[in-house]
Amino acid sequence: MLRSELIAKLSEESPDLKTREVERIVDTIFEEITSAMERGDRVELRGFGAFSVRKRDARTGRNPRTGAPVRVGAKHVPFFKAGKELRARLNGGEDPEDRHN
Amino acid sequence: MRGRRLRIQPKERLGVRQARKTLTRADIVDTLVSKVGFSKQESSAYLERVLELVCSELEADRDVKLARFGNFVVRKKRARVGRNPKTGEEAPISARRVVSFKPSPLLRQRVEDAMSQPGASHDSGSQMHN
Repeated sequence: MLRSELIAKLSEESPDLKTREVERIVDTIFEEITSAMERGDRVELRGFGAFSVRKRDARTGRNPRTGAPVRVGAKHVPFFKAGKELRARLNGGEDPEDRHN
Repeated sequence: MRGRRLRIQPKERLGVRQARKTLTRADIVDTLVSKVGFSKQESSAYLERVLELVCSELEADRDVKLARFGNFVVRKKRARVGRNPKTGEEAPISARRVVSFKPSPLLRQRVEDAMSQPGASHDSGSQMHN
């Protein structure tokens, strides 16, 4: 499913909304998550999952073609972890990470 | 109307530079109310619907590709033998489906640019309470 398909589906379900408004909703949601991550904040959406920013230390990488060492600086990357309910839905109703199953 | 609910996490109390906050549904709903102008109830219903549509696509084994944000991809993992990192004990890990999120180059860039400003270094991803 693409962003455009998500918007189309939502528009279909909400005949009283203009497509423009649905676009606005979808854009605002993901923009809000993005700007939280820009601040280094976490976004926790129970059942769905959590977005956070993870720090990656500097390391020496290698050019895969030549094998030459390449310095890779420290960086921050967006990270998502699926929530319990989503993990369960993908695995026949039980969250495989739950040890108490 | 209540303002943004921002929970300050323990590390901050230990004297780490900037506050780390956790946004929740309530914060996104508040933004929808103030920026898009829907009622709280409508905003909450739309947010829920968006999240549900993403989940049900993933459940049906279809990837969700949100331009300018990132791709949610379902991957199948085979069963394997893992190890408890604390005790070193072997523990079987069952076959499962997992969601991996591949941030778009734009999202990566925005996070990297914001985080590389002096004093902005963060890791909000080490705590797991889900």
